[in-house]
Amino acid sequence: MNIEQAIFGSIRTAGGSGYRLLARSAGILEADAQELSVWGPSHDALGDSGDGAVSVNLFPLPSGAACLSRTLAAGAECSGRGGQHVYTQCFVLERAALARFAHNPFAVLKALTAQGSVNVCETPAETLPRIPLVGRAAVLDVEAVTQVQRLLGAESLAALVQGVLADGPVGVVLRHDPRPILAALLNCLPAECRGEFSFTTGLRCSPQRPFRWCALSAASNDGRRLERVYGLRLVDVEADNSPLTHPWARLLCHVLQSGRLAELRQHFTVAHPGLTAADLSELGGDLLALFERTPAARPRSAPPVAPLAHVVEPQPQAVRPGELRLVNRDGDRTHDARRRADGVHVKFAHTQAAQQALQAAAARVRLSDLATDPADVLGAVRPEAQARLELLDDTVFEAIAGKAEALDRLQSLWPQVLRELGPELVEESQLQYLRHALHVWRNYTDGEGDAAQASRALEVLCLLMDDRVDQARRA
Amino acid sequence: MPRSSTVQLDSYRLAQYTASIGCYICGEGNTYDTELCRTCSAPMALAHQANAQKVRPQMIAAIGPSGVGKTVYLGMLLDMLSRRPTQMQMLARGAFSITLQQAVVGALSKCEFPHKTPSEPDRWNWVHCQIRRAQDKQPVELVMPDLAGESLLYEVDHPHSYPVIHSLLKRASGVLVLIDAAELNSGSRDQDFFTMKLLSYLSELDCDELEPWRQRPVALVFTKSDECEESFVDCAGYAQAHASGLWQHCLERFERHRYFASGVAGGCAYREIPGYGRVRVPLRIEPRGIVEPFAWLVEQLQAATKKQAKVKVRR
Repeated sequence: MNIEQAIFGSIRTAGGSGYRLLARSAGILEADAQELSVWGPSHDALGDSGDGAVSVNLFPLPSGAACLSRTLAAGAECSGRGGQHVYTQCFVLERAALARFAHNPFAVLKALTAQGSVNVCETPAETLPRIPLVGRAAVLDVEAVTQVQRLLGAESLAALVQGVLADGPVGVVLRHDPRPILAALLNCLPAECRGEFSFTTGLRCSPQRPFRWCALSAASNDGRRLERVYGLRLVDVEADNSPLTHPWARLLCHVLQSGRLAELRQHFTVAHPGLTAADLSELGGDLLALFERTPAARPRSAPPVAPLAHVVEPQPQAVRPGELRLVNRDGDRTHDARRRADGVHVKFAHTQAAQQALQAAAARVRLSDLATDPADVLGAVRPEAQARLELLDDTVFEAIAGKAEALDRLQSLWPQVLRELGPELVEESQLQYLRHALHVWRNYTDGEGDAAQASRALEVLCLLMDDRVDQARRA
Repeated sequence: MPRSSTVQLDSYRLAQYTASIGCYICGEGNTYDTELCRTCSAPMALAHQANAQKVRPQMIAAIGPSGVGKTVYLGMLLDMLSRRPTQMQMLARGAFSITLQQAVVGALSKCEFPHKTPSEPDRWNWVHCQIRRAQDKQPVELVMPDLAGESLLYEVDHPHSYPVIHSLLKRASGVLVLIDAAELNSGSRDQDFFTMKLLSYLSELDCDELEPWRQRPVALVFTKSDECEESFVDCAGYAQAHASGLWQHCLERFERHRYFASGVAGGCAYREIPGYGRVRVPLRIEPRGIVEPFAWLVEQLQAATKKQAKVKVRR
């Protein structure tokens, strides 16, 4: 999948000077380009004036796509009048692209960063190339939420979710790095309604950019003015102890305190076509009752590969003959079993074994027990595929950990598995490997990791992203 | 013994919300406690002051491409006028009207140019002032914003993107068009093209039939003229030689226009700042030709006001 990109900034060119859309790829519609110019941040727009200031932003475009942008201070302002040059790289994400990443723009940005597409170009060509976007994201990143839970506490995180679910623009007052917190907030919502929330993690408020969520630093003491001038409703959970009244916030508090995020993730994998933030009150109430009725699931060994985010476009609700439906205990909400994260892969959906596995899974799964391992379903359909993926997992993680023979083995195994299983089955695993390798590399650059291990991680990264392997895959 | 006090009734406070106050720039309604207009982001203080004084201030716009020197020109003009009590004197109305002067003078006194004006309208500086001239009985009330050049050009290319610019230019009584003389001197025609675009936009605005832009005064000011002395000697001749398109355009479209040359910094240099690169700095401050274009514009406005008053009396 390819996505469009654009650059907004102030570089003196033959076409003029001052802040404007400097370059864009050919597929960006004129109406979208105009919107990018209107929302584009100009001089002194970053709330933090430090050299390392970065803001991640998301806003809707007239075409129905969304713009994920990254704004940073990139050196001196070109006119030589002092101050920093505010540089913004924009990625135009169609609905399908966002759906692959469970409507989580932070996951998209991570994937784009991993493949080296996020950068600063000092002299961009007028027409930029389209960017390939590979990978998927889990519908709920348990680790990301858990980290923020450790930072803020379960009740504060739930209160933050309650605050940001209110109507109108919200100023989220934070005392920590806003990016992981906003990412956790999005992760705490079902994927279907994440698209309703535009946000910025570090741009100043402006009527030109009516973000739904604006992260504000608690140190700025500017909140009251922003409230008065821009009509922001301030949410400061550390200063305000209002009770949790929203059912979704109460559900989250319960889930976080009882450590049942993995179970919530399973609920998120069930598609809710047409679900909006306004419906979360009802859904939160239902799920809270369900969680309170059922005991916490037995802790399971975490699978190496996270469940795929099967977020699909809304489809007609009519039941077709022979269609499998999951019905909850109250019988008021139906779900298409084939949309489940642990549902059989579409490629094998027509086989007899798949039908049997699906029926067996549907028979034993209820809304109260959705913790079926995706590996179970794949194992029932193609046990040899499961075995190959497990072997690949072991080899990759051993190679990154430092076993020289594992790296040698991986060089032949990786293209072989790609050929045998096809890119669709391997893609999620590939993303997880890339994440792990990138994590190792980042640890090293942060001064915490081992140089030899970081070097091996890079070798694995190169192998997994090698063009020749891509060619083998196509062949 | 308890002291007596006056407490505003909540019902009275709420009643104030029912009456909307029109923005002075775009005319759209806002609640009484709004700080910036919800439609165009202009300060509502302008409307409150106009209502309180029962005088409708006239508007003058300083326009030109990004980096031409609008902020420095306006800031220096305000500083000079506020310190000239004899011929023409400026009195700021409202604390917000002094911010621009403060920012420019503060930067120049540190041998720096003021930072770039952001393109977001809510962050522009506005000036509401009273101009007193020795020869006039009544002072002139003026509103002048410091616009961002890129926003102006974007509005010209995509009309109605910036409602505040559209409304301001539609209602402005006169305009100061700033042109970078140093760039023109270097042979670049960008300034010529940008200025022609701005003037074309002005002449195509759907204005009051009684006072189309053709009849409004336009002061064309060459900035950074200290870098090309030629423009000081013969402004119109310089325009004809270096910005022929603009010269012809003004001749055809604007009945009342005049060329001026100005300069603030007597000389400039570049300073290397670690981590930032080269920053342009003024070596000394030698304002030249700053007041003249503005004085001409005010004179033209006063003449037009007197003419309109005579027409009213005759009717």
